[in-house]
Amino acid sequence: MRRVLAVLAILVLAASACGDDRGGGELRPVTFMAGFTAQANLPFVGVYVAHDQGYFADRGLDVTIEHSTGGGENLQLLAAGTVDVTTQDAAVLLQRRDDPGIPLVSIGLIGQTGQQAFVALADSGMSDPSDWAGRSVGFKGTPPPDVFAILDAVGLTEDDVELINVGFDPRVLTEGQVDVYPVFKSNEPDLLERQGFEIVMWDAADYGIPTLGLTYVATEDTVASDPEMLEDFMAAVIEGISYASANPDSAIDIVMEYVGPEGDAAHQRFILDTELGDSVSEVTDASGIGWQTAEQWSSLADLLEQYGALAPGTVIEDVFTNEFLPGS
Amino acid sequence: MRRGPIVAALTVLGLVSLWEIVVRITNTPEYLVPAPSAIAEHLGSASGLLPAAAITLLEAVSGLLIGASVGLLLAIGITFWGHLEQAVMSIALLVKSTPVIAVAPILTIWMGFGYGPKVVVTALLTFFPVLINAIEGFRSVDRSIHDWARSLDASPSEIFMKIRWPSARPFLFAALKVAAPLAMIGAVVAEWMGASSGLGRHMWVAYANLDMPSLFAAVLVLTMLSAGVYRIVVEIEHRTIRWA
Amino acid sequence: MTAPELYFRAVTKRYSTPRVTALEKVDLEIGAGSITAVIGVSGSGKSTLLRLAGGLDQPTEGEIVIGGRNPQEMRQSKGIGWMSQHPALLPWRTAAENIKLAQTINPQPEREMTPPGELLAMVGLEDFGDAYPSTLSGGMQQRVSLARTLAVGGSLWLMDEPFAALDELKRDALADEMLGLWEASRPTVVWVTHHITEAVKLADEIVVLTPSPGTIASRFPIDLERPRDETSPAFQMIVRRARSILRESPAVSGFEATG
Repeated sequence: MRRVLAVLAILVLAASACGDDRGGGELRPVTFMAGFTAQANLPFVGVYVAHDQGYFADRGLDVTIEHSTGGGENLQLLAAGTVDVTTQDAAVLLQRRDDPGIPLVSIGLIGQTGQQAFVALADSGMSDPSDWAGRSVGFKGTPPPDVFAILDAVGLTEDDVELINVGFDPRVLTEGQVDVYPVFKSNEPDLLERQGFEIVMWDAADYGIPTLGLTYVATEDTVASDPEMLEDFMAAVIEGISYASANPDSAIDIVMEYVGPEGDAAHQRFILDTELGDSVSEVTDASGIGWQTAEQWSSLADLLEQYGALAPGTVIEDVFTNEFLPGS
Repeated sequence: MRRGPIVAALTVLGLVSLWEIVVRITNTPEYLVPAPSAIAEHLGSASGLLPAAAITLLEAVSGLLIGASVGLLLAIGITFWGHLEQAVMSIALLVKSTPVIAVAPILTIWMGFGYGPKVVVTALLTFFPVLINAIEGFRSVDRSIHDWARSLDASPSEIFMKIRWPSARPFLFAALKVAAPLAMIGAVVAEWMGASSGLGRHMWVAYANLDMPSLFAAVLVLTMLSAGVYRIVVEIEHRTIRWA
Repeated sequence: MTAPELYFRAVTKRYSTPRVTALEKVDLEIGAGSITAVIGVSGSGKSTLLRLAGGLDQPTEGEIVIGGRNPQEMRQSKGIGWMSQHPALLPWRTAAENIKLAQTINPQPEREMTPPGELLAMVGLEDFGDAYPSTLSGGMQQRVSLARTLAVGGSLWLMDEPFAALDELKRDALADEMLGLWEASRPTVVWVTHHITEAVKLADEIVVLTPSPGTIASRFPIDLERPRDETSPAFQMIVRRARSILRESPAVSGFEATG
């Protein structure tokens, strides 16, 4: 009996000795929540790749990756401190800062131009938004400022079109329930074309309308209290995005691990390619991926205010910071 | 002096006050958990809740009437032609097992963005409990009563109208008590699935804007409507079934 | 309607689930306007006999003739007054409404209908016309059921242990009441009972059935004048005779003859 106990004691000691091997300091836990379900949106890809390629671990971060359903709970969880970093559309970020007043800060502007556009079937005969006159234009939830801005740009008014609240199924376009359908550029156009539909697409940016896309978001609190973590985080994800840009196939393989077996790799590749394209601009050429300017943000805020989607009084300097980006 | 309602009211009041105090003391932001006072304020303001509630109520009641009628008719059919039962039940189970999420988008494509899909979804949800309970009810006739009726050579339709139908009424009311709140939920869920107006849409927009007071206010209105519809069913039951 | 004679000719009834021969080659004649008590242990086919007579089931073999017609025709012309041991009243109708219903189902226009109120008075319940069955005692419910049997105005009464669920006193009282009502129109009555004394008190003839398979073990008339004195030696002798016949018959689920 004593021999058995001795052997057990030695085994236990050996096991506990092995468990403690952490090299230098401890890893800092960070919770990241993607603003939607797993897919190849560029900010998500940056995180997936950074996790897979060890860019987080290199900098001492232990990042847990969560996904939200797109309902908005990611902002609630961020505000409550359960999540450290999340993603959000730039316009929504401005709106939520204002009402209900969540103290959000953009720490990296990945989508240098907006995610959304409008499409119609090619055989509708429409070629220009001025052709929207007398037709039905769909919106999801509430009509976005983009719609009104485009109408203004081509000299039409709200009364020239029929605005319809459509759902999230693009088949309403193909079945003829609506003439113009709102889409995410990286998503539905690909789906529609794969189903054999030829479409014509209009992007508000083509009409001089300021649009911005996805950002990485943290709270003012985290920005003030944990800047090193955010700096390490951003460095890792920017590295991840660079990797994806250079090795898209490999990046998609990593993404598919999160998307799951039901996912379509070709469609995910389309999303990645589209968003890589949208991540570059004059600003990023000068200062690197994710850089953002006061001018970009004020133009967007002005647009939203003009169409009543945002109350005046936003302090632009408080909305974003570049201090955590590699270029700073 | 009836104590029950007073105790209930005091309990609710106590819980609400506790909620208000906790939110204030912990300084919880409104976009996480709204205080009852914020919700009340939202209820008071002209926020479009009442028209939204009317729309959802209309969808729910229409769907309930259609669903209950279908369930009832099928049950009557099965009572007279027993060999229909298997076919009807197989289809009914299929319908019941299909999640609303799968059905709602297809309905929107067929029927457009208006009331149609919501009423259909609600009808699909409510017909099953009515069908099941009606079949049970029509069958639950006491054997002695049935023998007696046959001794008088009562026709099948006489037996149905004078014996089976009245006998089934408690079962039907039981089904309606389940189906009525279900219809409200069904209408709201259908509104989430497709484009729409109504309480479901109100809740969806509120959540998208992280406007928690608005969301909670809508939920409160929904709860009151459900309770109201349930109460109406109970009242009708009390007036029709006086013999139990 | 004149009271019919009842004939069972070589009547056999087999059920498939469970497999049992309830009655086998039963031959029976029941005189018009008579009261026949059918007694026997459980499973001897008493209820089956009644159901066949009422056309609620069909014989597997043989035929039943009632006043020159078959049971279905008897039912169609609403000639049958059926009464079971359960009151079988509709709970959602008052006592008077229950009686009225018996008259409105399969209406026979040429027949004269006694108003429910009068029928209730005949059974001593004239003040309870508006009562719902749930508010009445078991005995009162059975009286309403009896009144309802009268309401039909049938010439053949088929009664399956009508007072079995009641206590001794009520049972005696109701039996007397029923006898009085029978005297008025003298229908043909077939009365199934477990209760020997009750049978001897009421019946013109006793038929004893034995089970497995159900056949007639014995039958004999009762020639006593009514009203019958239970304490009289003649009465007691008949009771003893009936009892001994019953004792000799094979039991199916236990010997249950009482009284």
